[in-house]
Formats: sequence, structure tokens, C-alpha cells
Amino acid sequence: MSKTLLERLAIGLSVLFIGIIAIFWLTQVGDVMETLCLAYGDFCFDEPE
Amino acid sequence: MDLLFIFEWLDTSFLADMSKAYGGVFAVVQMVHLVSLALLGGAVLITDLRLLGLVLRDVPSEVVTSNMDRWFSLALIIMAVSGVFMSSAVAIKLYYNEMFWAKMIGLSVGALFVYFIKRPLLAHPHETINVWALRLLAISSIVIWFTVAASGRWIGFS
Amino acid sequence: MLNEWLLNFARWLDSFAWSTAIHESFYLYAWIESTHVLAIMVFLGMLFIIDLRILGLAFAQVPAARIAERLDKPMMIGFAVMVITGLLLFFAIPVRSTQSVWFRIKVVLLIAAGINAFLFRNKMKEVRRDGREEVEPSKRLRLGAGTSLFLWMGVVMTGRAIAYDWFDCHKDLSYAMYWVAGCVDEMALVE
Repeated sequence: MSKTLLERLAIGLSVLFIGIIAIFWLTQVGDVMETLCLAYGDFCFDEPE
Repeated sequence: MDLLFIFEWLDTSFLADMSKAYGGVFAVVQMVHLVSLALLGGAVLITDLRLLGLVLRDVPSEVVTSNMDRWFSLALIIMAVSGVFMSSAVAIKLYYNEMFWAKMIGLSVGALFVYFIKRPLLAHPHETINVWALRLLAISSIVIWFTVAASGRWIGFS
Repeated sequence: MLNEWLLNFARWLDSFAWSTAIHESFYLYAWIESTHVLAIMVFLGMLFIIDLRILGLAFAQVPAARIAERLDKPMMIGFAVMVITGLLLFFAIPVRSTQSVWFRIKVVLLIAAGINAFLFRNKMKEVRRDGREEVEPSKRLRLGAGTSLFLWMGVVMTGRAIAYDWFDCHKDLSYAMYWVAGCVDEMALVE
């Protein structure tokens, strides 16, 4: 593969991977917040059901 | 494509006989897996932080990359072999574990990315490569491998 | 004597509400432990490469002192995170950890690794003071690097082993094993 193509692939795929992984982590953090809410209701904006 | 047959095969293979019967062997393999993870982490971080210009600035980036590549590959091979052995003990359970699949996808994509894009690109003199390509390559590499590691630890929790 | 003192200390830690809270919360404990593992990747990763350089197995064309010096900062950042999360993990499960053979071996190895690191650092300082940075590391430095590799690998391995309950106090163990693990109550029962 040519260098220019590799550079473009490197940039495009890196951005894509970073984006996907960011979403992956955010869903995990969401899980944590949910657990904290269930364990310590005071943390929550709303009362847990 | 259903991959369950691979896990069913692994579950009845001689590896599974060993990993299930001898808890001690399983534990030692797991420890080797963890030590290799540290080596992999070192190789990844040093290569990528150098690409970002954050460490070893007085050592040429090409020298850093070429030195770390073989340690990265060695660590990856040990981790893959020990990983297959560990998987054999809980093969069917893993098949139904979401985090396991997240890790496997991250691992496969990450490995393909390293060997087919990162390394061929870094074979060129680094100063001739687009700066943003280098930076993004480094950041995505750190993010990918640390996510693979974390999701691996998380398999045990889920 | 020491066993009783350690157990009392662990029970005192255990009496804190936060200790129970971390232990019982699934996600918080898992996050702390995952962070601990990622910090090991940073700290031990840097340490391995430094030790491998001293041994001449990596970066052979770059002076060893330079590698050791440049990688020190990222290594210590990993070390700090590792220690903080490690202490939190101990704080979450103090009694069982205190009575774990593996944890005890780990602490002994940690102390040994600490002494080794201290001696190693002093030697490196000498090298720098004498302007011998470019010279290949002496036999003593290489011995120190090899020792460091093995001690830290031992720390990680015994650390991982804490999760296994093979030698926990509730198991049927010999008196000597109870003593090593610090199973004070079980020892009293045997007597």
C-alpha cells in the first residue's frame, strides 16, 4: 500500500476506533452511575423506582 | 456465522481437561497472562508516547519503535496462548459473555490495525509521515490496548 | 503476637462503613480493581523495559542510564495509581487479605523489591555523578535489574493468587499453615 493511503487509513480508522471505544466506556460509566443510584439514592436526580 | 462449535470443541479438548482438573495450573497460566499484559503495556506506551513526543524525546522515534515491536509481539503471543488455555476452562460460559466478545473484537481489530496499518506506515521515516496520522495512531493504539486489557479483567466480574 | 496485632488492625479497618461499602458495591470494587490492573500495565511495563535495557535485551543502542531516567516519571505515575488503588482494595477486604498467605508473601516481596529499587537508584546516581552514563551497566547493576524483574513478577503473581481460597482460614490446614496465614482463631481451636 502507498504511504498516502496508509496515512489516510491511519487517520480515518483511528478516529473511528476512538469514537467507538468512547461510546463503549460511556455505557460502562452509565452502568456505574445506575448502581451508585440504586445503592445510595442520594446520588440520584430522581428517586430510584 | 455461529462460532459456538469452536467453544464446544474447546470445552471438550485436552486443554479443558487440564485447565478444569488442575486449578493450580490454571492460576499459574493466569499469572503469566497478567505479567505479559504488563510487558505489552510497556511496549505500547513507550512506542506511542514517543510518537506523541512525550517520552524519550532524545531517542529517535524509529529506534524506539523498532526496539519495542518485538517485545509487543512476544507479549501478544504469550497472551494469546495463555488466553486460549484460560478460555478452555470456561469455554461455553464465555460464548455467552458479552464482555468476552467486546474484548475479542477489540483484540482482533487492534492486532490487524497494528500489523497491517501501523507497522507498514511506521516503516517510513517518521518525520516524513503526516503529524496527525502519527498522533491519532498513537492515541488510538493506547486507547485500544488499555480497553482490551480492562474488558479482559471485566470478563471475570460479569 | 504479630498475628493478633495485624488481625486487630484489619478488624478495625473493617469496622469503617466505607470498607463495607466498597466491598459490597459491585461496580465500585470492580472499577478500583480494573484501575489497579491498568496501573500495573503502566508501572510494570515501564519497569520491565528499564530492566530489560539494563540487562542489554532492549534498546541496546541507547545508553541504559538515559532509558532509566526518561522512563522514570511515567513509571512513577503508574506506581502512584497502583499504590492508591491497591490500598483501597486492601481497605475494602482487610481481614481476609491480612489472613491470606499470598498477600503476606506479596508484602514480603514488595519490601524486598523496595530495598532493591533503593539500592539500584543509589547505584544509578553514582553512575550519573561519575559521568559514566554512556558506559554499559556494571555486573552489579545488571544483577539488580534481574532481581527487580523477578521480585516484581512475584508481586504480581502472588497478588493475583489472593483471589484463590486454597489456603483460607476456613479450610482444613496444618497448624504451621494457620500460623503463616495468621488464622488466630483457628490456631486457638487446634490448641
